[in-house]
Amino acid sequence: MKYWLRRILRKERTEHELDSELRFHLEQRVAELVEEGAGREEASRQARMEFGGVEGIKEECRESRRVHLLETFFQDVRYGLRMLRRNPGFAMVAILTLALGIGANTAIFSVVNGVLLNPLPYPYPEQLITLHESKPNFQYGSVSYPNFRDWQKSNRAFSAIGITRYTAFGLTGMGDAEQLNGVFISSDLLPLLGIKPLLGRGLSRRRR
Amino acid sequence: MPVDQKSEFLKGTLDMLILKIVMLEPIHGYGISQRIQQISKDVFQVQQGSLYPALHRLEDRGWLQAEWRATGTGREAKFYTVTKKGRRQLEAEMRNWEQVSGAVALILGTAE
Repeated sequence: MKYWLRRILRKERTEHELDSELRFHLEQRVAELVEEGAGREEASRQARMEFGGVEGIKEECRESRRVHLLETFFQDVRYGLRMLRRNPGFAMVAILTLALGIGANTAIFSVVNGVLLNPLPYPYPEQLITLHESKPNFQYGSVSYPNFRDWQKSNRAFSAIGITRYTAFGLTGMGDAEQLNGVFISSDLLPLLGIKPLLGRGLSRRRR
Repeated sequence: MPVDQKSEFLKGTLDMLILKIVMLEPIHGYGISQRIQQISKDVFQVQQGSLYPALHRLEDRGWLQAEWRATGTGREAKFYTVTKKGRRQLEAEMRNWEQVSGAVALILGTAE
């Protein structure tokens, strides 16, 4: 890990150094040609010609590092796989350890997410559960109202049961018609959740 | 030899020559090309296009390490030195080279 980080940090410096290194070579060659008696401009021209494309050389220098980077990466992967195949016991333990670690993490995160990060915004959220009616094709099917009444009557497991049903209303008479989403709720639901409506008042049993 | 195999072969040889030259003393890229030309009595003239990629390859493999130092004229240049790993690599390559060149000499020396 440190190795990769160092590589990334080093990249810019490497680029700068590559430039200076090649420039140094070129200048040395010019100096040598001048010493041999060439004019400054002539020397510079010849050195450049001998040198060839600086950008091409730079790219090849970069390439020789990149190729190695990929090579070593694949070598590492191959080596890892070979070692795992050679020691199936060790491979098994490693895989199990990973599986357990990831599994435990996921499980704990689900709990933490539900309890600490996203608890339901009601008092005693841990006591709230959702009931569904299972049917052959619907694992979480809706509950028929008569069934709900029966459940309520014979309920001894919960302190209260309420019921909801999603619906939509059409709003007309104020310009364009608009669809409003709403929910039908039974009178028990708000007291069950322990909340009061922001506007108006809750339903009372008598008014049902 | 097929072309790509031949260039692979020459690349390996150049690596060995560079390591050998740098073993003598810390030296910059320009110096290396001069040395190779001088010592080989002008037989080898390393092109910059081969020399610098090779230097970077060797540095990247950890066989050479580089450091910026002032030259005799006070100019900063990138000086290369051979690492321990590079020294072992050079020894291995030299043994290999002796074997190969010895074998080639044996075959070429066979009386007709």
